[in-house]
Amino acid sequence: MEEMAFAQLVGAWVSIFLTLTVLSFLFDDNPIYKVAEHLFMGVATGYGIVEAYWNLLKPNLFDKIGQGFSGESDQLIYLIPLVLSVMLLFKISPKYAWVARVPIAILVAAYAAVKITGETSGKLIGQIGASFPNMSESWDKHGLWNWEADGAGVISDTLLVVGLSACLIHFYFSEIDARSQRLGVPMGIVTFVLVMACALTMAPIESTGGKIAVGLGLGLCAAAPFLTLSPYKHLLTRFGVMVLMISFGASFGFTVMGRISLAIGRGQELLGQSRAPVEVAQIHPQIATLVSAVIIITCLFIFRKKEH
Amino acid sequence: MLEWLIKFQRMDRRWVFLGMAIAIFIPLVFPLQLPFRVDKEVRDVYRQVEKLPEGSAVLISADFDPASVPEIGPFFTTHLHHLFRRNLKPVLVTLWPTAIPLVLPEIKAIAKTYNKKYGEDFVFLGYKEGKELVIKNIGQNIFQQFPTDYDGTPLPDLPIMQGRRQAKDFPLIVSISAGFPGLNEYVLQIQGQYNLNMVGVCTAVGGPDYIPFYKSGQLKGLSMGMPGSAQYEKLVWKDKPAPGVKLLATAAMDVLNLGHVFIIVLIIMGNIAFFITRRIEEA
Amino acid sequence: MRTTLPLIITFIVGVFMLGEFFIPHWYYQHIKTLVLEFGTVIAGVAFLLGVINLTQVNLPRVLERQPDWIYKAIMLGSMVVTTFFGFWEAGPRMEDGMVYKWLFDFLLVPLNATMFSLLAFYIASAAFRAFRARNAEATVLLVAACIVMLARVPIGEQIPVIGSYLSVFQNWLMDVPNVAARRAIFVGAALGAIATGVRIILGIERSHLGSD
Repeated sequence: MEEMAFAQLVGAWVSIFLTLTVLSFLFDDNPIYKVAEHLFMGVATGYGIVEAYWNLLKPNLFDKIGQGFSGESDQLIYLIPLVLSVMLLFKISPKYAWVARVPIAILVAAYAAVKITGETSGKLIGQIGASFPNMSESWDKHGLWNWEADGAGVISDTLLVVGLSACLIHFYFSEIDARSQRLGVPMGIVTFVLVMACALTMAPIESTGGKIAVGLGLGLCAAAPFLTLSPYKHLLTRFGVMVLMISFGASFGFTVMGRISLAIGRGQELLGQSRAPVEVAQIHPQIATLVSAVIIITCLFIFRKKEH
Repeated sequence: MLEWLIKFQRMDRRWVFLGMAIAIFIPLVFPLQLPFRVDKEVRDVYRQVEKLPEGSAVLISADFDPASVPEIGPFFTTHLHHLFRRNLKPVLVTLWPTAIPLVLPEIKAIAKTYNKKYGEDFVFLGYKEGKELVIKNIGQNIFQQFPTDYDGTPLPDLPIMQGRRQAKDFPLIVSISAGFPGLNEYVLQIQGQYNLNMVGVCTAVGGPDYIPFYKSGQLKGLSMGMPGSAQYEKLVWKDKPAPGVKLLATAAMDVLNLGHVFIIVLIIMGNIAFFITRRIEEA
Repeated sequence: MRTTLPLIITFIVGVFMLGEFFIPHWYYQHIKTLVLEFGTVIAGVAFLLGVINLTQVNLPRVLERQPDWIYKAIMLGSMVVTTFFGFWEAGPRMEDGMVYKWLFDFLLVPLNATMFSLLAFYIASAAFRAFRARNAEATVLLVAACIVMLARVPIGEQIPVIGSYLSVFQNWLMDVPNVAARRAIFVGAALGAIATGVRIILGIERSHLGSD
């Protein structure tokens, strides 16, 4: 059996003790939890500085400047970020804090630009582009509703597009004047009829039933947004709210799953299930858990008594 | 009755905490071992790896911290086994400083069991601060942003990096992400621009946000949370893990069962008490 | 000057970075990657600035023995110790037997992981106390949550008769209504982010520069 180093054994016990220390917050806020909390902040911050230096500042700044001075003159361009970094540190001084505005301006401008391009290509184009389902293909593959393919089909495609429109219209808060409200229903009907006619004559589907189904789906998708310009807008927005609620409900379910998973991870650690059997035999995590629990409960008892 | 119901609704939350703790510990000690299905999204992740030709390099961005290890750590471990088993070459980067000690010893230990050589069969390029700016540069010029690997070896000296200067030089990008910066930023900043073949691994909390990317084809596969990791373990190991390998996510699925049921029971009980109280008060 | 110069720089850098989609020339792209790299270096130094600020705020409290000074001292002390060993042990700091690695493995890992695991308990409490079917919207939310919770775990599939339908329905909820809602949120958020980005580059939004 490979023997663990003494430091590793102590570490494993410390780790279990700290786990229970943090869990003690569930009983009540207490000094040992606060110690653990501040210890975490300190170690995490120190760790962040160290890794930022070794992984970023050294190879991407200091080493490159060093290369610049030892022959590779094009690397001297890295004096620019050095100067900018020094300027950023002026932020500490109340008097010269304005000097730091130059590097901040560069950083914020670069972020703003990458955000604009990223959101446009990744979300606006990528997501809206994917929201025009090919219903003829969908009919051929799945028909109206396919249980085998998680409910894929013309019904789901229609609900996806109408749901998306409804949610977007729910986010549209401006008032629509009474005259404009008269336009929605006739425009919606005309659009529906036109789309239906196009689908019946042009859709690449053999069966008439399929053409009608696809026509109805596409017609609904095209006509629904016109309800915004009608007195029935609230019906669409209410549908949008329901769609949003389903999504938020799903988010809640997933969040529960995620949070329980994290607790399971700690449970596995306390019971030694995440460790190799060789380590478990030396650490005795169950005993460590028990001893730590006794210490922490005693501490909590003492703190309570002191408080009273 | 009314008094009791009101009391029940206002009971000390520590009783709920205790119930939750019991719901977690009981199945850990007495596992149920219920079978589970594999979702299409996770199967797609597996297929993307399977269809790569031997010797291909896979760019993995491991962006997680100790808190998210129970959810996506098992995926990371299994993924490395999967890649090495298929003679694929993982190139690891991270945008989260806390990921370094989680991924570096892991990849070195697993590589050792497959006799893989650092620098030729796998490499860890280290961590960079700068979030989206780093991702942008990974898309454009990895050598610029990562002049050396984690150990300080210049990238041009590493055989594995020959001819792999940009993200699009990798036939598969895997973003293992616990939040920001991570999967969302990779999709936004480089996936679309360079039309990258990309799969995502996320925590359960982020799952509903990333499904639209999978449905739109921007992500070719998606594993969400602990169930995703368990399903991937099932696909890779087929219930027969290599000696010394622990299927932590598979074991945890049992606990999730009881945890979820406990929360649903709480919701139902809370609502029953609420409605009875309301009815009595109205009467 | 103190405000105008940063605004001019913001505009030039912003417009330059936006040009990447329109100017594929290699030199332009090279300069772009350089600017991005400079940005990452500044972001790294900004982290250092945060640490200095943390010390500036907390050190006087320790020295003046203000309430809770002991916790602040623990925080600063552990920060200094971690930083010291991180630089002292340098290259091999992540190898077994190093103090720096020990601090990560046995302090940072359990503390970080357990802090977040507390949320499992609080979410249970919240589900019991606040998750009420008060109206139609709340009922839809609650039912969707319960379906997802049940169908995502193996026990949901084991329910007789409805088990397999439950799983299909859950997948449908995620693939159709969830995707519709998320895309609507994406569009709204993307338009917001783009508008904010344009305002920053044009100098209309200048809160990041602080006040004089």
